[in-house]
Amino acid sequence: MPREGGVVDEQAMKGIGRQIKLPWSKAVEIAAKSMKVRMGRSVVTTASIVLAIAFLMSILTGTTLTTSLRIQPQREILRVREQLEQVEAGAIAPFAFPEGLSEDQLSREISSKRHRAEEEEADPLVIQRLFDEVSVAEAARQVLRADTDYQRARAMHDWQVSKAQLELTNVENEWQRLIRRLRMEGVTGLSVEVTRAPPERSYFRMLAEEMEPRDRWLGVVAVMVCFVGIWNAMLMSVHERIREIGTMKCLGALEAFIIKLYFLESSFIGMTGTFLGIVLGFVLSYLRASWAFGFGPIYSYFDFGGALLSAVSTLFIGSALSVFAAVFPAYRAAKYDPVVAMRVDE
Amino acid sequence: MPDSIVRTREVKRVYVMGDTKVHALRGVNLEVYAGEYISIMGPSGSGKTTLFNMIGGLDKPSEGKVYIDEVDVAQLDAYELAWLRCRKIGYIFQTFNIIPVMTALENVTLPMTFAGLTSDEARNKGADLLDKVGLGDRLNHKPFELSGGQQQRVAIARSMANDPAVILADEPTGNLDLNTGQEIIELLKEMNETAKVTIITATHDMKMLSASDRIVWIRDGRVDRIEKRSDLDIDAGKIGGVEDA
Ligand SMILES: Nc1ncnc2c1ncn2[C@@H]1O[C@H](COP(=O)(O)OP(=O)(O)O)[C@@H](O)[C@H]1O
Ligand SMILES: [Mg+2]
Repeated sequence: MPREGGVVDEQAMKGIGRQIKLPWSKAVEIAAKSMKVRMGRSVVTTASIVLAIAFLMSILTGTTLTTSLRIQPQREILRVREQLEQVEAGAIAPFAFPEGLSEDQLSREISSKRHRAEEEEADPLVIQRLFDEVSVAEAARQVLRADTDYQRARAMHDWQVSKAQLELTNVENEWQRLIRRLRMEGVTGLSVEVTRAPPERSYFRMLAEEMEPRDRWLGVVAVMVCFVGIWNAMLMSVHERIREIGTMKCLGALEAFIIKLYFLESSFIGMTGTFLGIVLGFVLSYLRASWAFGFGPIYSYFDFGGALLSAVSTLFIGSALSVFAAVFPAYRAAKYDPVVAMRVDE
Repeated sequence: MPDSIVRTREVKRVYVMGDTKVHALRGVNLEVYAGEYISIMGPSGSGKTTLFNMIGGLDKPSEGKVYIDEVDVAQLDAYELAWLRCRKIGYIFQTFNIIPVMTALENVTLPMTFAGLTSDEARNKGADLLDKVGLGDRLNHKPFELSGGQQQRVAIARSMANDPAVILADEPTGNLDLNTGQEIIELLKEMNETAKVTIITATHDMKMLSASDRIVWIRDGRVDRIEKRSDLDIDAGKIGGVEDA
């Protein structure tokens, strides 16, 4: 090649090696500025990602919630049952009975509840619930009456089981009511009976098994919305900056630098949107469930560890999406001909 | 004999648009010597911008060769071209092309960053350059806070960022009024004299010729004639007699 004494001698070319890694900080700076300047659009893009991710997150949280509500009380009943077996086997001492309950109080409560249950005609669920409360009170009274430790332990166990059972029924009732309110007919089959131990399985396995087909489909759609939104925003950003990109290339920017700019911009928008979406989706579906089932049961039964896993994986999905969605636009920007910088008409 | 910094041999450029072919350049031979101030004159559509794109390594000729410092531009790969644009050539555009999200100083230091200067070195050098073009008190202004003439001054400072061998200015005064345009030409001439940088400008405005050492007239994609300043009587009467675009 004819380059003796030319501009592109070997020693001078060494500058290029430095040129490749150096401008990371510059790229971050430029990407941040360009987002700031296009604040309006950045906010709209971010908002669409927030909504899509919030939707995805609320599907995951919802599945976690309904599954925990169904399974956690069953676990509790099983736990009490196990304890009784141990009491019967003489392994542990019976529990102490809480103070402040008198037999009189319990008797009065039982009869009033029976009475109300008989009068109640409207809602079979309410009747069921009253009967459940009666059985709790009955069990409690037997605890009070017990003479021997063994009898007390036995009654105590019944009482605990009844309480767990009642809570499960409450949840069940609220669940039915919610279903009716949301007109989601067909979502039944939640069994109160505890015949065998609920499955021990990983969180993701649970999601895979418990998520309804329609939710699965909606989740995929949310992810796609997110992807297309970022893609579109990045393409617009490239289009608006054709001349700017051309100018930078005239000033000696390598394609890698231009690509960096777009990846940074989309990662930033994508991660911010995803993070906000996760928070929004979680808070909304948690509040909605608490509103429907009561704050107590939700708080005590909700699988927070699982929800955290959901959040982390959603963050991962959102960030990966935002990087993937920028591939084509960034590549396109990098390939823009610097000649456009010279062109007078836009 | 002075060194030639830019040389073109029979450069042709054909744009193909569907069935029609536009012959933007029909064989241009031109030699520019180091330290010269050259004006390329020609009516609009005569091929000036196309020629600049060739010389600046932004586009490749359909036929013929372009040598910059005796290196055939067509032989360079993407990295080498980026290097050439960064270190050897400064570009000045009719539309200024100041990057809108950056301040004057950031615009000037960007090519230095590409060249691998540390940000401290770049900042000092950038401030010096902006001072030289008369914007020492406007370092942190954004483009929209600057007039057209001031933006073009930033562009001149930016083109000087990495001490290029050649500055290519395509109609640098095209978007400016007469007085501001004249000031920009004077500034370019000053850079030419003090920094010894070769300047090639394109214009179709007679009034911008006074600074030139040589004037290359092109017409229909060919060099029509080349005049030395000494040959040309820069006299309003005579210039008025020459056909304008
Ligand atoms: N990208 C292009 N595609 C097709 N024709 C072009 C293109 N760029 C320039 N031309 C044509 O080439 C000729 C020279 O254009 P140009 O170099 O821009 O002239 P000038 O800069 O002197 O006004 C014109 O006829 C123009 O229409
Ligand atoms: Mg032109």
